[in-house]
Amino acid sequence: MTLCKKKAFTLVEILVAAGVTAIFLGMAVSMFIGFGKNFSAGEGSAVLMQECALFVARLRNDLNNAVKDNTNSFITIDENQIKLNVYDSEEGKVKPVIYSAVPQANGCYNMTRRVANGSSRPIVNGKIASFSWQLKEEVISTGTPPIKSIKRYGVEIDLKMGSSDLKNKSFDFKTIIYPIRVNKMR
Amino acid sequence: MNKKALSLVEITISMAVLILVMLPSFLAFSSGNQGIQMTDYEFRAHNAAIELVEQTISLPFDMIKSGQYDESDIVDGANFADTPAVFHLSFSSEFKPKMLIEDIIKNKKVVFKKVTVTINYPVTKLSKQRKDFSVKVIINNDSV
Repeated sequence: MTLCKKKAFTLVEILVAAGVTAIFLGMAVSMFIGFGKNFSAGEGSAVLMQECALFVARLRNDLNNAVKDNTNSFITIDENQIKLNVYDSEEGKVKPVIYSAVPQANGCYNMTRRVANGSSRPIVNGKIASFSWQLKEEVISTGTPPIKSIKRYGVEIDLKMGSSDLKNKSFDFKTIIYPIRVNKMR
Repeated sequence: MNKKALSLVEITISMAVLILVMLPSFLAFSSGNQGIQMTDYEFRAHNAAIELVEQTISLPFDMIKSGQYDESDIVDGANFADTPAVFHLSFSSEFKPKMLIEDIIKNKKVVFKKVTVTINYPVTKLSKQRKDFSVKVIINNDSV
């Protein structure tokens, strides 16, 4: 009878190896979860930032080309709507442009833009959680003779981007847009 | 029967190799996120610069005083040079503005003013590294 010599792991070896493996795997999994969470939060914010940037760029462009009408007015702002007269340099015409915030079932808003009698086109689809816009009129005395008072207009925008499908993600943005053409029409 | 099993050292080394192989994919997540943060700060710096340019060029030409202005001069609610116009800033104190206004003279008359706005901003939230974003505009003197 020959004895078969089998070399196996001892209980201590198995326990130590399992412990080391558990530590490595634990670290790897927690890193993976942490990075994954940050990445998904960042990715959601990037989507919101992009939508915000597009909306602000479009509004800034329209405000910078806004002109006063016969009544010396260039803009009407109410709670959910901005109406302005925008000079279209391609056609050489002044056209009314309307921005409307349309409330959605999820509590967020769509932002649409309509030119003259055309149809409303969406700029932001349901990703505005809350917003406010306000016209600021500032009277400045020129100080040097001949002293006169001038008005500097600015439109203050406060946006909070977010939506129910991008849970826990938000992008807050605040700015003042100074309509250059209007401010130069003195 | 002589079976050779894996030793503890072998298992540990293989785990370390596995971690090293996985590391680049974890770092890819991290750098992607950092890139998004950088874009966020760039966007805000760009907007801050445009905001300063727009409010400056919205003033009458003779009120746009030439000179160099740094973050201690460009403060929300503070007067622009010795004029009655005040700065309105909606960006946070992480963004450090500087403005240089230069006269462009022709036939002893100021025909243009060159406005350069520079915003110094952090690259990411936790980074100490900072970058500059500049916008330059030329303003025409309508009275010449």
